[in-house]
Amino acid sequence: MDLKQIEKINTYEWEISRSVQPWMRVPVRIFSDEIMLKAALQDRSLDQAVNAASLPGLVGSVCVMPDVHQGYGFPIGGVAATDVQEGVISPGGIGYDINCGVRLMASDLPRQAAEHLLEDFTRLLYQACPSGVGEKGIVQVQAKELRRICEQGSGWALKNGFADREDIETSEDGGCIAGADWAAVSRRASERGAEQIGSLGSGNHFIEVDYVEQVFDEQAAAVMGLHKGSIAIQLHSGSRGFGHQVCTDFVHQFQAVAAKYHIQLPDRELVCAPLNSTEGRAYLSAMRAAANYAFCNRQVLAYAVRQTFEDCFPGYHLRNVYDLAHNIGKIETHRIGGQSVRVCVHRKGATRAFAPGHPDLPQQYQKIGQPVLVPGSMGTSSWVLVGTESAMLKSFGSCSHGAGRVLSRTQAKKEVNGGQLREELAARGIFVQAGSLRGLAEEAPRAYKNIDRVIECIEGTGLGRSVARLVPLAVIKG
Amino acid sequence: MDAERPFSGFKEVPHKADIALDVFAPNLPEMFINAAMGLYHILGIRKGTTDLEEIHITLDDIDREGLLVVFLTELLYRVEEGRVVNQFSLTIHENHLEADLKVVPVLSRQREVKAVTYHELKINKENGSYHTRLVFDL
Repeated sequence: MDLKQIEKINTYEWEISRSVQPWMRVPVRIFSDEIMLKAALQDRSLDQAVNAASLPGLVGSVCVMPDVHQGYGFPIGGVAATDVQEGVISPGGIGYDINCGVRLMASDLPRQAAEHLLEDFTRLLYQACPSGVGEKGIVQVQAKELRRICEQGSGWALKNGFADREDIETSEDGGCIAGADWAAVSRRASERGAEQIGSLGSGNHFIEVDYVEQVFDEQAAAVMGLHKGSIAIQLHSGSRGFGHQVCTDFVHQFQAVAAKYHIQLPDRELVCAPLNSTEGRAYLSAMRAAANYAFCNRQVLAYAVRQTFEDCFPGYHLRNVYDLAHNIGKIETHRIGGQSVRVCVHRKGATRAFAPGHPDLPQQYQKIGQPVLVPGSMGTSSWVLVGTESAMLKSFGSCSHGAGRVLSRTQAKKEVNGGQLREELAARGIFVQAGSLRGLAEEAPRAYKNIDRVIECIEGTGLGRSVARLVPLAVIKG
Repeated sequence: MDAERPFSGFKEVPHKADIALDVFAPNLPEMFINAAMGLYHILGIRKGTTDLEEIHITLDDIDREGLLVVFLTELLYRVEEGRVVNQFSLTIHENHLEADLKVVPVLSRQREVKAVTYHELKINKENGSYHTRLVFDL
């Protein structure tokens, strides 16, 4: 892809026309400034967005978020919506870590009151929340119970004492997507999922202790319970081996299905099935089971975080601000060409960002819009935003999910020494507990884009509105 | 390296979010084995020495690229179970694979691989050497 092939719409919006490749069914709309767009052209992310534009039944445009970077099949930071009647669903457009997502919890604990206990608290969190390669979860269940988890999501956690009512109310979809079908889940997925509920995993998954460094929208921050100078905690995890296996099963199965429905694609990782076919419905049901598994996984982890926090800091409560998915396929209604259309929105590395008044939002967020959580890298700030009407109109109610990588893992390992990085972060007042120094190096702050610039683009495009900025004090990496 | 024999092995190539491997071999079965060794390398596996079992697997797929993904996915699943292949004997005929595998325990591993992807996967044969590029989701 070349900058000459991209048309500038305005400072923060760009378009790749359908004429660029013969397989494109819709254009690609990029939300970015020129500098970040040029950075995106350094990898294959925009070629991948062009490939994604080949999916049958697409409506509007394939949307590319400011934090886009190269993935496989779809780019990470890509959004694509397909018509539920005529369109397809693509497991690769959702990703292997189904319902990978972020949860933010907030407290009234002032940073100054926490600082002397922060290292001990982080060590206790590290013990309470299983993390790293091959670690079993807080909860291990038999198949019968796993089925309930897949059908009830965070509701299972509530029934079993791992959640309170507010946790459920302040989770996307109430922590459970209807329509999960256990029969669509393979034995292998079930085996892999049984022992990992309440485990963080490794890679870019984390728990981060932050403080609210700045508030930009006092009213929205107050509704979310975010107060300047107080402690907040973010948690990033997904559906673990269960979701990986569900996606693996269907990407494999769909290799033949795509041919059956005469679907031609430029990359076989994009394989898909019609949403109204037996195969498409089976994947949607299994994907929802994995999404519910992930909601429950984060809820069980959040419960352990809360218990540890309240033991360490008596008299302070850690309440849920929001829990959201950023690798997901959702059936939603959007205005396209002046008409309401039911679509399957594929968000791969993109966060839902519904505007104020949307019926799917919890009561408390009806006036301000959906909280949008955009974590930075472990040495930089993270942002809390709210969804907007512009996002509804431009990106199927979607926004960025993070900073986005600029360095490959290989390059990051070459440039960064994990032990040294830990010391550097400590010198800046950020305490790190990591399962692997190599993994830490791969996730170094310099491996990621400048998060503040990503937010500037989001503000510029109107896909989100800033509420607060969080600064890290301690990080747990799997 | 023998000048007559094409390079056989794998090497890591940069990938922005995940990890990619270039795999080379003079024949298809050796390429599959090299890809398996590459996967184990990415996982950072430390193997035990006690033989656990000898297993026979049979796999079929729509083409040889699909067969490679299915084969590696099978090995990845067995790593999740704590088993790593120490000795391979493979035959591949068109889109059918038969393998006799000697399995030992995984003592430890350094990394999780979520999946073996099909992303732009193509097995090429040039000048008597097979080559492919595999992308693994981390």
